[in-house]
Amino acid sequence: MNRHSLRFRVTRWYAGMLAVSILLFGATMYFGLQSFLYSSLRNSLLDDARAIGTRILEDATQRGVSFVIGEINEGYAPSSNGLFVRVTRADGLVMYRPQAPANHNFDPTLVPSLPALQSASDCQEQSPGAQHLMVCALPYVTRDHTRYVIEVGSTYGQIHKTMHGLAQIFWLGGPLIVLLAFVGGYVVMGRALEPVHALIERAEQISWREPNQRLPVFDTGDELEQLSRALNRMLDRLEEAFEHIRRFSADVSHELRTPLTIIRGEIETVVNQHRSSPQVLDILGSALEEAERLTRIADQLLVLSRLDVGEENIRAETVDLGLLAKSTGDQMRLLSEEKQLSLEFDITPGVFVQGNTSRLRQIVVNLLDNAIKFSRPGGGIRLSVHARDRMAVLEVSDEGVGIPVESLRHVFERFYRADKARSRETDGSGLGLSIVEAIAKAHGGTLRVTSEENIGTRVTLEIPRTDGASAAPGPSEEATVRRNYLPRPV
Amino acid sequence: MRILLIEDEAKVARFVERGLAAESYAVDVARDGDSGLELATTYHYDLLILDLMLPRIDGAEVLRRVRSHNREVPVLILTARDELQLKVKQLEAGADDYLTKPFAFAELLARVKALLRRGPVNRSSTLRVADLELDRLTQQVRRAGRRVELTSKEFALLEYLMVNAGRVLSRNMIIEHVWDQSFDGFTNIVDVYVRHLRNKVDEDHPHKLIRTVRGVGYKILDEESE
Repeated sequence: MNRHSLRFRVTRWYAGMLAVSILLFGATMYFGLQSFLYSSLRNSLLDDARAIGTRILEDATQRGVSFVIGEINEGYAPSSNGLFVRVTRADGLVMYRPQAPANHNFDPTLVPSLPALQSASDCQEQSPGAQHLMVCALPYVTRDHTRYVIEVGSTYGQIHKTMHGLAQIFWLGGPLIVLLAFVGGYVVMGRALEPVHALIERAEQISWREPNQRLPVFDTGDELEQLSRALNRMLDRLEEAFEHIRRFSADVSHELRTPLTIIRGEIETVVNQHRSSPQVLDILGSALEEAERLTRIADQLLVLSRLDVGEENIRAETVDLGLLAKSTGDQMRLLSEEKQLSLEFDITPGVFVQGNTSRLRQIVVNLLDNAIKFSRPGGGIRLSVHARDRMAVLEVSDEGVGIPVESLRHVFERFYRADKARSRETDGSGLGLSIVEAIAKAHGGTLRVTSEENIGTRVTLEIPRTDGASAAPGPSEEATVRRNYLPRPV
Repeated sequence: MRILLIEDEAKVARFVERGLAAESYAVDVARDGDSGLELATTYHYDLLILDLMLPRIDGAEVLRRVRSHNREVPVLILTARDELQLKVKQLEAGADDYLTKPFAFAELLARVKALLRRGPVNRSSTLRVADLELDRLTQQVRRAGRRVELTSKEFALLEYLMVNAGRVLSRNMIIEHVWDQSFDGFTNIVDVYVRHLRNKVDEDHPHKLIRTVRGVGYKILDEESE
């Protein structure tokens, strides 16, 4: 049972509220009934006292104490009824002495006698022995002006039994009701929230790779239906925005390409006419080079935006990362030799990843290119591929100029250059590492850079590994070359 | 040879027309899909160069209608979009080749020639440029009779230059043919390889064969065209 789930919390609240209600209701009922029973007892005691006065004491003067005792014993049978009765005349003579009850619930001799004759009726609780007693005293004046105090008392026995029974009902029944309500509520909430779980499950599956997916709609007419419809409308708008971005990239690329085509075409026309001086040709050539660079930037931006939106089906092939790194590195060897750099391979064979050969090769090309650009003649570059747990790790480290600490966290930013002047010279577009990172992300991997100025830089790529069971050997380097040398198409 | 160019961008149309005319092709230009379709279905052309983004009737539709009318004429698609799927779709719809803007004119020309079967589809086993000789079967290269040792990449590069002797090849064309697309835009590798190739082929000879055309690319000199 998830204690944070809506289902649990709502049910808990519901049961809690019910428990509080039952508690309040029970307390009110309990104390209300108690006070009602107390006042009933009081009234009945006073009634008895008044009846003793009017029926018996009026005649007491003539008929004597024995009459009073006999009448009271006969009329009220205090000892068998457990009643406490005491009649005291104003001069202190006790006309009727209380008798011990048959069940010995209390000892009447312990009930204190009244200090003086009272003028008003009064009820008090007394504790003469095991049980509490309510004793009501009534002053009574007969027609012949004799003053008496009649005391009638009774134990709370009956009241306490009733109250005890009621409390038992509440203590046992209350929690049972709350428990039943909790279980019932939990089940009902579970049913009510089933659509929410269905929504969650589907929502987790929706990704930008399939932006046309929608959430299920429940025809229940309640808030959940509204919610699923509202979310689907939101997905519509997102898909639209997403489509806009996609079209925007394509449109920007198109809008840039047309003028670039014209610039290149017009300049090439002049260059091909063979009539310009070498000086002019040089200027035109420079312009062409810049046009080419602009083309490259536009292309790379397009590649980036496609990788960003996950448009490419990137994990199509099983690739031997080591083999790919080695063959790519071999092709780049000449570039490193040009700068008198040593290029070393440390490659574990049979490290497979699920990916796109061309894009992965692009990673190696870009990383090695950077390492070569930022190395000083005589330095070394090391390209390694190995497996670490479930990851394939590709590392390129150099002994080059390094990257200043303050620039390290910016190196993946688009168009960021650690050293403006120097990288401009080396003709980068400032997009190389961004593309490498985007490719790494598209493969579910990460890219990490550590560097120390004037000591070197190490770039580490980690991509989830797969076993190479389904690996098909790709065309060898030689075959690729042989396939490509004829002008296309033939 | 008569070529129909259907392209709405006036300036693109102009330099393509000029360039092709300079290679002595007859070029007609249509500026929208409507008139392009009319020309294509009325006259006989040896080749259609078709831009995809056209006013009124777009290029894909023009291609479809041209194909329903004439299955033979080769069609070269020009487009600023290079989505692979789009490419495949157009080739399936009957286009013969596909060129993404911006392109080097040299590349357009190479493809036009290939489509017109007029290009140097040189299948002989020995290629010759001046006193440079390349044997495709034995993979041997000789300059003035002396053996030149080349790596396989250098060999592929030289072979590509010699097959297209006299024509300027852009770095991107070279990359596309000798390397693969993951090296796209990574043109300095071409410069390095050409430099090495030069050292081996041209160094001891007063007559330099491999020429740089700045901003455009490289060519190997063909004596007849000089």
